Amino acid sequence: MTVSSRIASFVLAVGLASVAVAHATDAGADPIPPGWTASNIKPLGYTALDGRGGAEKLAIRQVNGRWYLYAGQLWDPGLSIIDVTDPADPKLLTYIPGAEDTWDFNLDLHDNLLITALQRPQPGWGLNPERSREEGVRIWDIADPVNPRQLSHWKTGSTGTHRNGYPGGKYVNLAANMPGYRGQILVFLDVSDPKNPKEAGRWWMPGQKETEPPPPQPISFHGPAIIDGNRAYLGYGPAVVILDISDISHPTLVGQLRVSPPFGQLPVHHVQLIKSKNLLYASGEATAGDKPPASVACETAPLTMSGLVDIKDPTKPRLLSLLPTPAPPEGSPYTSFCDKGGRFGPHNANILTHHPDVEKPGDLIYVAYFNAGVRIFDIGNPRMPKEVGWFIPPAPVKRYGPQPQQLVTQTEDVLVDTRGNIYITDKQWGIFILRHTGTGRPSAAGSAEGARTR
Amino acid sequence: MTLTGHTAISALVAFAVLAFGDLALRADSIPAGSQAQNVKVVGYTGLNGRGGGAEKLAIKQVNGRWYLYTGHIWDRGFTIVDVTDPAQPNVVKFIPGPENTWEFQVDLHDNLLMTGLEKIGTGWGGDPGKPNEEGVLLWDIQDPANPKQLSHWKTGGGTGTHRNGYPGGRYAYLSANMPGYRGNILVILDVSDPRNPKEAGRWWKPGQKEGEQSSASYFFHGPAIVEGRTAYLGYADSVVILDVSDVARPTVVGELPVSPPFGLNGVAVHDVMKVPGRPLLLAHSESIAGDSPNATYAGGTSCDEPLPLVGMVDIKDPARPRLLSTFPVPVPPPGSPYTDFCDKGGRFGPHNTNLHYHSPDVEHRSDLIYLTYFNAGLRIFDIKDPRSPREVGWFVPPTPVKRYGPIPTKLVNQTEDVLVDARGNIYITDKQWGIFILRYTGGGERVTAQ
Repeated sequence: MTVSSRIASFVLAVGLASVAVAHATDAGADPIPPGWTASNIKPLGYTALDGRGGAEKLAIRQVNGRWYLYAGQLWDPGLSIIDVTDPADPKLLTYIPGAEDTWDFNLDLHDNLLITALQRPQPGWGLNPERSREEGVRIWDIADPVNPRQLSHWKTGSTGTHRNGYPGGKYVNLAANMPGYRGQILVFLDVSDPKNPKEAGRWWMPGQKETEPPPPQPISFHGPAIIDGNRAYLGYGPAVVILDISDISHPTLVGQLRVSPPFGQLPVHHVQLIKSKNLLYASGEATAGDKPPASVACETAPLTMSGLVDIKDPTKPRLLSLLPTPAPPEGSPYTSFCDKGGRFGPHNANILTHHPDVEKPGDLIYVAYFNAGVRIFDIGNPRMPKEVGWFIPPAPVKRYGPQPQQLVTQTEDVLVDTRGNIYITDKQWGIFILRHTGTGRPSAAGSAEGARTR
Repeated sequence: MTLTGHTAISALVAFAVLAFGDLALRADSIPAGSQAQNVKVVGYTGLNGRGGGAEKLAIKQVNGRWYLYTGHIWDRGFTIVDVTDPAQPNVVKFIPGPENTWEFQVDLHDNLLMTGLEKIGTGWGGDPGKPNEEGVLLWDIQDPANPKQLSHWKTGGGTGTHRNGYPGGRYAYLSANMPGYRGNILVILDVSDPRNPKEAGRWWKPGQKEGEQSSASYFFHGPAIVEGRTAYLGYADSVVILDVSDVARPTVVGELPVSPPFGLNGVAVHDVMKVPGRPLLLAHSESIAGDSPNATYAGGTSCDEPLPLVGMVDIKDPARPRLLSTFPVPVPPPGSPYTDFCDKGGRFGPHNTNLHYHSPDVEHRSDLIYLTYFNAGLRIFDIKDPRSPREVGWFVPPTPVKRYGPIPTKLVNQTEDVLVDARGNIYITDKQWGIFILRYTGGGERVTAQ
């Protein structure tokens, strides 16, 4: 999408949403679009991101009592920063354009460092891969949270990086396309001098290095790695992988659990560490459903995993339970979300728990589920996870990008701050801010109980 | 109960049955204390004191009378029950089997009954120091109450056969422990002359034959479900689809490994069931954990094992079977003293399903799955939309009041097998109960037999 057409669509959006016009100039809160459905969740606020719908990944930080939400944009490469101090009145503070025709939507932050990924896009996502010029990872100083200052740009020498993680401290972990390898591999970057990041180590699955015999199925590390002391927990291709990283230059395998087959699509998209329970939440990404009839949800692709893995013995991780598959509410025109259109299945969870401003894992798992919105699961008894809440955005009224072909909600990412505010992104919406009205949220997390009664 | 005492009583009862026929044999009263949803109890038989531990079931209708055949875990032999009136099941006969040998696997078609002979597992009441029989027995059941043994085929291996299948016609499909192989393999037996059965073919997973390299250990539990030239198998860690048009040389059509992450390798896919008329398989594990905290095999404590699989497998493209969905895990009813069945004691998880679809006397439904779930009893699932299976009924037998065999250590119900006849009567067996006869009251449409 060119800059000029982007502006054109922005004008169109304002024209259609008359209420938004009044707020557009001061970038104030947009009204919550009507038509959502929910159980045990209520919407608090909404931002249309100044017409740039299709925010993707989220990160958050609090500075001097003000809360800043960072959102990478899927269709408009770049970064939006939103003041969400008042969740009912989110304010877009700035939009920083990214590299043109380049995926720039994966991000993470800790302390004063923000990292944003640069990657050559896949065809069919509204960008021109042939014109993509940038790749790698950018490192930003966010001491002034509203005015990120680029410190460095590290390059892979290949097609760039995907979902990278920065849990604070000395190392960034990258899901990097590296010369000489098939698919993305894990690369550790030493950012102790953030102006001059250096590779510190790498790990890959046998068969990924081009000099090795290729694996039967392509393998790629989606990222991020979840770091806890000397351990790294990864969703890596067909498996949940646990690494010992006490020597960062030579990560070693502690244990792994292959889940694909039988699970499929993007088999292990990520893991979330629930340390107090000795568990990982592991989930795939459902990728079928973007383009009917070539790709229809549930039609030909294997089931996507969403389950809990017991890591009491980290050398032998074991599948403990699966989270129940969401069902449409009574009265829906379809009996399974498979028939709603678009993708149906898990995508992202609230995994940036390295950050002090993100809700710590407790009894609740938040999962962005594409056309089924965001789903909340109670794992108080991890052998019997149960669904305890959900929110489905309304049917989109405006198209922001070419996917999915059928214009339906596609909830992408979810982030929960320590105040209990839930932020969700969607391919064809701005950002909804929600609250879970059920029980089970960690009690030590915040003090904003009053917000529930708003 | 000691083995000698057990045997003595068995012999005595067998004598009584033979001597007095039907005389004293009446329906037993239905034990109180069961729980259910959309399932009602119709009848019960304590199997003349061999109540606990009936295992596999098969059924046959002759001239309007219905005969249920059941093997036993704790007793050596099998029992025939007249279930013409499901409220008045009558034990017709107990046929004693070889000593120190399991004979609890049964299948039948037309006038041929096949019973498996197998070494008793360690800790299950056998004497590993004494000899056992092995192989399969073929019986003529033209007179359904008086099976006549036609032949005894032996594997020559150590432990005999496990869950064999006889879908009618020329071939039986065995789970056989063959000399020169590790773990049971598929053996196809030509029974066209049932007095003189002959091996017609075999198939095994690479690595099972001695001399073949493998890091994994495989075990074919059985049975094979045969439709036309295709055989569907739960085979150790995988769903396997074979082309058996040349029984001498079965060839792989497609395969779906599921373990890891599901189940324990040997029984990660305990069996598959071909849904009648639909390109779907039910594939499920057998839960193993929970028999005894001191069990020598894997997983003594309930649920201390990888999650067992219960799922639908789409076989529209049989070369690429794919996992379509998994079933909801049963939860205890409100008011139970435990919040999940893992805390009830004994095994919790899937075991058997109604799969003798080769028989016209077995219910043919393409919208319901009946699955035994050990301590969670019988569970019934609706698979009209196989992408979203849902539970629509269940029956949990009462807490046992008498111990029939040593497993599980904690005396809880352990529902083992299920069979549904063409009239809609549901039969379930249990390690520590006789046979409950049930009916599903939740509605739905029955599919006529193929």
